Amino acid sequence: MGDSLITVVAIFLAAILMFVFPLMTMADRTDDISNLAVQTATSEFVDEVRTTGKITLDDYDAYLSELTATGNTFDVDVLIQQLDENPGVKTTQAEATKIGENLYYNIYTTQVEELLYDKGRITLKEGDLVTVTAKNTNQTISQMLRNFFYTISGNSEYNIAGQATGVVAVNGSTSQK
Amino acid sequence: MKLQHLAVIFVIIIMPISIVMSAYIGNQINAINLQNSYDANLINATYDAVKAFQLNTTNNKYASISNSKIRDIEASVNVFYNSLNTSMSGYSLAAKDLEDYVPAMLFTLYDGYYIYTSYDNVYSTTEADKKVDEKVEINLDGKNYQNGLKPYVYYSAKYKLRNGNIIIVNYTLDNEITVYGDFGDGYTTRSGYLINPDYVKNINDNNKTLKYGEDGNEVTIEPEKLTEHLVTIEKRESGGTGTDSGDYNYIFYQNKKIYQETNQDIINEIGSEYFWYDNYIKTPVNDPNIIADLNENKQKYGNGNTIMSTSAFEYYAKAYDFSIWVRDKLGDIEQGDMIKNEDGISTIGTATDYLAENTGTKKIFNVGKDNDPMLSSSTFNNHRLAVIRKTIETSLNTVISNYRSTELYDYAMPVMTDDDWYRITNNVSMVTFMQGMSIGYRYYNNYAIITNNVNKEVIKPENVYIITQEKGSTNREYHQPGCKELLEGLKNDTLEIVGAYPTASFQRQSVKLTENSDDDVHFYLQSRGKQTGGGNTQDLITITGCYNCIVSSTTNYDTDEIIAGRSLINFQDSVENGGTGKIAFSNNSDEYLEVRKAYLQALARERYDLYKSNFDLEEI
Repeated sequence: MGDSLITVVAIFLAAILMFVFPLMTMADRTDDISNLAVQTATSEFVDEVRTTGKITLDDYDAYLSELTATGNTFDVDVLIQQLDENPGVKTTQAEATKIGENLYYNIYTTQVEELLYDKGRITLKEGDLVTVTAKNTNQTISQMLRNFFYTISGNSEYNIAGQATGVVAVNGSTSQK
Repeated sequence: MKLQHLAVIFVIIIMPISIVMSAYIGNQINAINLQNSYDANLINATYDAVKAFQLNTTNNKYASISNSKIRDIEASVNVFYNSLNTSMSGYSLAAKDLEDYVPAMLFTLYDGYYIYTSYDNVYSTTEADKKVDEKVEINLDGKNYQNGLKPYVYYSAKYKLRNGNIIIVNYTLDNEITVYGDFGDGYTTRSGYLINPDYVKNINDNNKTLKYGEDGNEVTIEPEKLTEHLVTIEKRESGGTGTDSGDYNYIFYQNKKIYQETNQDIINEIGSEYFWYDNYIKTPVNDPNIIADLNENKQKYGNGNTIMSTSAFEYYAKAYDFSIWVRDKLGDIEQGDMIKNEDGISTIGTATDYLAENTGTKKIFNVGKDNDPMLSSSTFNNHRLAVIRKTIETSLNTVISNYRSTELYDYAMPVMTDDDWYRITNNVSMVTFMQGMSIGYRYYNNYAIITNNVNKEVIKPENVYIITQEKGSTNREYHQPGCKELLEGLKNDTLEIVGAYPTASFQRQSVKLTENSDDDVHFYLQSRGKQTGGGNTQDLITITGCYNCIVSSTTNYDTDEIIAGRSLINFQDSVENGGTGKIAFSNNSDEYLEVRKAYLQALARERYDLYKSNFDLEEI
């Protein structure tokens, strides 16, 4: 009786060791690779926006499909901060003659998407800021396995993320080309 | 075998695989992160360098002169290395080490480009140790090369005419060209702007007026009044305090702005009605010939009161003559007549893939309605871009492949996308290449392109802003030509156009009075009224950027459409986007014609007033 119990326990442990452990490490590696792809795609997208001064619907779609090509679903946050070059306008705190006392107007993901679908492009100017964050929303295998053993909860329920930000370096061209 | 043994064997097999895999992927991640941070650093350093070039050129009245330009470029190279060095200090690379990894920097300017790279082709200049075809050992820091600017290269192409003569065409970033060669009546050099001459009508040299545009949609080009707000510091010269300011009419006279003083007291004081603005001081114009010219201008076009700029008229009138001549002499040339850069003898003929843009058998210089060089889609423009790209590509490729700072890495020019080339060939820009540094299992190889928005080199179609004033108030705003608010304001009669100026006129100007930067006086050339002291700007009418097109440029129309005189259609109504093609602003509506006139006039005037190094010899 005692022997067979140990056998059962041993089989159980061996199964974990031989099946779950490699699966977990492999799943972790898969996520790492996805993370790599997401981080690269995000930086490239932001760098493109920074150096061309515009976001086009084509570029944005290409970025999104590059993200989904990793096999996960993503929550993408785009934040554009547009610099108000007019010093001292529409605010009482800023002083007209001082450098750096400028305001930024924020445009968030939904507004960005609306503009892109409406106009096809958003033209930015020198001094604007772009921030793009992508987080996975589905549960990856690695997350599922981990949740099986120990539960992660809270706001940081993502395993794959990419983030990039930067100042736009040029005025976007007003020509559609 | 017992189950435990199996498990142990399994662990022995799986563990190393897992460890190696995670180490490998970990390294890859580090490499990518390093590469991303290098990319960002490269872009930032290039941006800083472009900014330095902008600051140096826009505040320098002699920035267009070649010596000064070389100095400004060398300064921006220094800024590039300083910036790169600061951001790379975390990776323990010294500035000197960084130089090895930057095989080339490209500066594209108005009619040609500079490449900053290493050169070792130094020959002796002294007679004593002159050896034929033998390079001199430089031996600088143990290296036999040094970094510097290579000679200026023009964007040029050779063509074989039908009569067998070979001619050269120099291109620029806009529609100006210079041609050299024998066109059947002796060796000729001509330079000018290429436009569609059929659009220029009713040239009246006496009043300096003409009509430009398609029949029925013409705009009238006429003399115009130009005004700038200036801050002057004469008071301080004579021991006083504070500064003076005022609005002055000006024109470009021999490549330099001459302003007109209207206050009789000051005219008596400085001794002339006209002055140059040098070092924030009014320098009177005393040359009787210039004064006579300016007085004549005032009498003829400004009712005897103000000096008026006729540059826009001159631009179209001269471009008209030149374009007719070009169409006559070069009208037959097509892509196949271009001579290959490589051998300088054979034409490219049917090799349609020689140039990046294949214009086929279309006549490049046969300008007309279907080939309007002012438009970016014209045959001339496509060919121009392809030629510029070819010359840059050939030189860069050679320079980078020949770069030998280390034996460990073979430098090679990265493949650049069409979009990148479009940006390089259309703007004054800076391109930096960085390669050869080891990141994990491979070498870094990337480039950064930053175009220069504010410069005195070229006036691109987007470099002109239109100023409006709200009716019944003193509120002034500047707009891009395709701004919806501008067009709507004019349609509803709430706005009126008061002028159009290049983007550089909207940059903040600073007067440094003392070492203390709090004493600096700032002003904008397009403000109006009086400004006193440092911060007190009560009587000053400032100008603000439009919130629709300048601060957030979201609802703008394509400027190309305005140049071409086509009706404006919203993106969602456009046929390409599945819309009905509903017209938002028709090309014969009053507001459209008003914007088009202001825009075309300003574009022409600013292009004409740019400093030129190529003159049309026919006119001299």
